Amino acid sequence: MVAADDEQAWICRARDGDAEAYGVLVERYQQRIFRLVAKWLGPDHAGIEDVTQDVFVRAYTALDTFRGDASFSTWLTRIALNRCRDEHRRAMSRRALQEAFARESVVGLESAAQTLEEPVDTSAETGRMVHLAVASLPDKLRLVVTLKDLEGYSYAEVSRILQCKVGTVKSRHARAREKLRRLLAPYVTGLPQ
Amino acid sequence: MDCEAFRIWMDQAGAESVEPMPPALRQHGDTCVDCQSWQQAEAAWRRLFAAVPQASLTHSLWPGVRARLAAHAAPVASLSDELTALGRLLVPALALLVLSLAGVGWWSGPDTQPTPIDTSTFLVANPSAELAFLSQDPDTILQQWGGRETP
Repeated sequence: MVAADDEQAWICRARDGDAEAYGVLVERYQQRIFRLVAKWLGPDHAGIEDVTQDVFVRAYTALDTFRGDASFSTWLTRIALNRCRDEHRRAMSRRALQEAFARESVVGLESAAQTLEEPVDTSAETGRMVHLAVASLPDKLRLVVTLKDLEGYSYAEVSRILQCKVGTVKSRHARAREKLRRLLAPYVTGLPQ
Repeated sequence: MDCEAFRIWMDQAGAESVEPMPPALRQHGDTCVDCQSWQQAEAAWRRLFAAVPQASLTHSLWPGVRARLAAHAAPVASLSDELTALGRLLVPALALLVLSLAGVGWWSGPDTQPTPIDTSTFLVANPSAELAFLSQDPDTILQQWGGRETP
């Protein structure tokens, strides 16, 4: 594990061409980035590992542009989110993507409700529906929910990652939760008001 | 302390390592009804999001990343080698070209040799130079006209 103080030293060594030093950074952040990619693409997506590896390759080739204004973790997360969004864009157009998410969401929610015939009470079904509902959000809202609620970042950290004001993050977060509440209300009991 | 400060602290506490909650904030959290219901709502959201399936990495990605970096670097290295080899050829060639151009420039530079005067043409074009013609050596004039030293 790399101590925070040592991180800059590893980055400098990696920047100077020491690949093994970069390996230390990969080992440190791979779990976090893998988890984030999986949450964006979906846990069953076949390309999670491939995309995660690509994030680290992109980060390495762009290491010269890392100025240290934000933490390495923040910078890496930004690259990962951009890569995840590219992955979807590559697969389909934005409109088709939104339609697919919406369709998948509705079908998923309805089928889950029909299967259970009662308000959802199993965490697995709830989790699947929450994932579908989050995936159906517009990108701006989805980014905030993914980072804040699924990954547990603070508003300040989300603001640094997305490079926007904390107030903007809070506003988008509130809108996202309102949409999620409307989407999930018929199927999930005990939603917060 | 107000609700905003309490909620900011709570938000950061969930994500970052922060100092223990200041007593004033703790007291606010214990007494403010709005903040208590806010906390309950946040806890409910957390439970909901905690149910989302988690993917976990079971092995290191570094070998795969290293292989990709090597594959990525290889064409760059060969391109670099090719550029170096090209440079080794181009630099002497350019140097030779520059020297040649400089030489040509030197040879065709300011002409120190007086241009022989075609006197006949000169006279036609410049009748006012007649006196200069008359003062020239006759042998020189004959040589210029006939191209021979003796007529």
